[in-house]
Amino acid sequence: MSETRDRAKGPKTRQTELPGIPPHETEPAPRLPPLEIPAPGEYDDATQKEPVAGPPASLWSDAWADLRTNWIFLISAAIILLFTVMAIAPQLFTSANPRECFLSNSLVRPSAEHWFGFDLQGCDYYARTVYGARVSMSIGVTVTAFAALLAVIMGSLSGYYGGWVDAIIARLTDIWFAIPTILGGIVILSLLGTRGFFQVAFVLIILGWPTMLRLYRSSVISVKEQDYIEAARALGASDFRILSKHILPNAIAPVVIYAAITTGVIISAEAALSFLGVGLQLPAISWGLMISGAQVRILQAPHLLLFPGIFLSLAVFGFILMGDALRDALDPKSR
Amino acid sequence: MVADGQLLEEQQIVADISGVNFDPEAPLLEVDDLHVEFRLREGVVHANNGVSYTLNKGETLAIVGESGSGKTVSAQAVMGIIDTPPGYITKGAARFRGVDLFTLDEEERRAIRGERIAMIFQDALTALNPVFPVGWQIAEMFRSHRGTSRAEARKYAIELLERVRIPGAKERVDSYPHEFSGGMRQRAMIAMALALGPEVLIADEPTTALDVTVQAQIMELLDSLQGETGMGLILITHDLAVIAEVADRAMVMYAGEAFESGTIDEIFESPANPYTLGLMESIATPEQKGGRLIPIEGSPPDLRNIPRGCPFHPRCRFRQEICVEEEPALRELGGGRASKCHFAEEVVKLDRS
Amino acid sequence: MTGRNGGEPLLRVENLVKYFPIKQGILLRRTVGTIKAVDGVSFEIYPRETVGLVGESGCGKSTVARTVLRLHQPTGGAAYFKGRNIFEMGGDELRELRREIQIIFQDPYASLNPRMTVGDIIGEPFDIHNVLGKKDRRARVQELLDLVGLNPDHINRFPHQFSGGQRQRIGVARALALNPSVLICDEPVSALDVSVQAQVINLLEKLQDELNLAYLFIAHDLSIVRHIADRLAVMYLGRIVETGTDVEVYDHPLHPYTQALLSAVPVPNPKHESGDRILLEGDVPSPADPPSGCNFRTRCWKAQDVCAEEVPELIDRFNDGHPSACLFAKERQVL
Repeated sequence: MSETRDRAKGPKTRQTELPGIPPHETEPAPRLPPLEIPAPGEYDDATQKEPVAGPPASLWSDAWADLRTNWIFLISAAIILLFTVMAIAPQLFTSANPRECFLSNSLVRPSAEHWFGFDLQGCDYYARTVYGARVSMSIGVTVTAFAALLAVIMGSLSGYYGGWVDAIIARLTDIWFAIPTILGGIVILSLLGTRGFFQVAFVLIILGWPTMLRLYRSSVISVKEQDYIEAARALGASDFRILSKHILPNAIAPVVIYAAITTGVIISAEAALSFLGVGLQLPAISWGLMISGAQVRILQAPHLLLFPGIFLSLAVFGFILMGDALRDALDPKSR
Repeated sequence: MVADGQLLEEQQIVADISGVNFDPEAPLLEVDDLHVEFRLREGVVHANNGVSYTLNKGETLAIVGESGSGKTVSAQAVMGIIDTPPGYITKGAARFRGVDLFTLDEEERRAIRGERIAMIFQDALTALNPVFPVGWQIAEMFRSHRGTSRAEARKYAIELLERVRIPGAKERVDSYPHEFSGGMRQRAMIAMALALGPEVLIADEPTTALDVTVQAQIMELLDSLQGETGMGLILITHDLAVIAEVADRAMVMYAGEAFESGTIDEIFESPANPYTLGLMESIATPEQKGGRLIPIEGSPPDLRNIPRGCPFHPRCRFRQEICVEEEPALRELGGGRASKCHFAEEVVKLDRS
Repeated sequence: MTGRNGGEPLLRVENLVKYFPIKQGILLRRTVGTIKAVDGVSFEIYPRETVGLVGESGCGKSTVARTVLRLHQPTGGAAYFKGRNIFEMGGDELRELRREIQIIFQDPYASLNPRMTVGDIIGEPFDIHNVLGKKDRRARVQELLDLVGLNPDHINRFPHQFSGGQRQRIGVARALALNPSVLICDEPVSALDVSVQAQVINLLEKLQDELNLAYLFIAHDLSIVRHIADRLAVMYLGRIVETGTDVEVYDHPLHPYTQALLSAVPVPNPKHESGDRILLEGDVPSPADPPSGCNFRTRCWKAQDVCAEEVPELIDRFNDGHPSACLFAKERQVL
């Protein structure tokens, strides 16, 4: 029959001396010292002060350490950096003025002084290509940033609160998904009168955010099940605090990855729309427009197609590659 | 219903056509100095560092260890289900009836896996394929290994489900895994493992995810099945209480090594290793109350960074200088008892009253 | 049932009910059934005592904890903290309550925000409730780290740099930040290694003495509960089937389920005779469709017809302060 013991008593007592063993023939065998049983409370405090793995290292800094040595990241970062500088300060790349055109130079082939030759109007094609980066990069970044902002805000509400808020937003995005991007873009843009930067950006934003919203929403749904979110609620944290301080940093990774890839996709979408004549209009300088103009003369002057084509592909490629590298580094399985 | 013994015999005749020379005199399973490592981006994980044990017919061997002790990895190595890369068996042998499994080719290993050596896992929900009915999966064992006809295989499947005491086996043979409760799924997984009459059953944490009442049922089932078939059972677990009732012998693992082995009585009554001693003293038993539990300080080591000398020395209350410097050898204490500790002989004599 | 000191209970739960609706449908989600997770649970916790709540998976013990904390909205019943009904508290009062009742979670890997430093995690309660200035906060956080046996210098480390047992300690420190009087421990050691469980249990016991805490200790491991609890309640399928002191329940169990549960617990002693083991038949019924009357009757060896008709109340049937919910309750020693 078991007995109950008063909790105030200490641990079971044990023999504290170890029986010695007879000395070995050639050398004395080691003896263990008498065992002292630490008093209760000394156990758990003793080596909890054991060394913890390394200096403070957040998951972001771990990811960064990974990225720094990843050659995919380095290459894509270089490409993006190149185009960013090109967009901000095209003067660093060319001293020519892309709008200074002389018909006498029309369709001149590339040469040592003018690397990309001239286009139909006689404008320096290298200068135009370089300046074209500005449009592409700014559209890509602007659209992605706004779409991400919308997606995060609405995705937070949708994923966190669920219920009818989620139902409405989810059905809306379903409808949106049914609209094919380019086709929808063509229709909307052709209805608008003027088509400048803002109109094109606007259209691309409203066509692009549903995917990001879906992504962020599912990320929020999985993060919100974690115990640390419940812990925050049990502490009395407001919903806003939970969404911004707890959920956002942990749910944002897929959106970051997707944003990188999307930027590339948006750049190529703008080029496509401009190519089809429903995007930007002249005198805007856009690779899409340049390619559009080049297609008619492809046999006569292939350089008109080649150079903007290469730049466009390279820019898109850079962003998609960046998405790849980020995905490896931010993979939730290893973080 | 085919009698149990009969079922076993029939199958053995068919199974022997694998062309390998098994030695009926040799122990059922003998793992010898097994070394397994995983080469990962963050470093090399030394999962097993010289593990040896023997399993005889009709015996239940418990492999006890906490997380990171390497106990599951040793079983996976025997079964041949370690992914390479990143896992590599760098040394050692695993002899099934005298034949080293690591020297066989994949065809032969596949023939042995499932037929002669079977394994059941902790989570039946992920171990069973969710898109096929349970009965179909069991029947598959017969169809693919023996070429049995569908009708026959289905009959065998129902018999097996009855044997593992799933009520209404005839009706439930077409149910899907998610339609079973946790305990029933575990039984279904046991049925699948027993289908071909294996000689060794490796149970990797079979009851860890189950409630205690279901755990009791499953352990009782394994015990009686073992009694009927005479197979060897390896029970991998971290639960000392479970093995006290079921196992004959036990091996305590720590940091990928065998720290102590012996019969169950020996290990519980007079542990020969400070780690085992620490484990015994830190568990609460339902019969006693009072006093503080006596924990082991610190936590199990990271297998990428095993302390030098004795891997347990940072946490050992008997630690001496030699423990920090030199890795202890596995000391035989007579009668199948062994312990990896510089002071094994003294620890075993400690009076624990 | 009076507690240790015979005074007023700190926390009194009365007929707590929590049902989860099972919904189906795409736009308008209809309720097609209910999961009766908690079906009328009552208990009390007095200052400085530990009440254990045991049961197997699906019995509703975790739901009880979360509903009391209003992390779920209750379906019925009341929970009084120092006389005030928690379920009727408004915004500010509820926030105040959060300082008095706190919770620690089972999973040390999911209960801490991986992107916050340990210092921020433990300090969050101060931030949420706007107490203590920045400097004082830091000092207090370090004090708490020391209190739970961790190195105060590790205040800027991240959770993944700590072991499971250490993370659990961090969770404890966070829960103690605002000096609660009741701590709900939801399976606090189930996910830890055996050699580490004892450390955390000892820590909890030490803290209880030092800080005058009351614990609601939820677990499925009966051995550990016996060690730490003064009184306990056994749950099955949403209802409490038996309550009593640890001696009463472990040594003189009255309800058949308690008896079966205790007899199923393996004993770490090879010489122990398990002759009296009660093996239950069948599965635990689904909480969406519990049996009528006594919900244990489908697996009970004593079941009679009357058990299907009448719901046995949790009452003191033998006039000894040891309530049970069985029409045929009879003591049977199984350990």
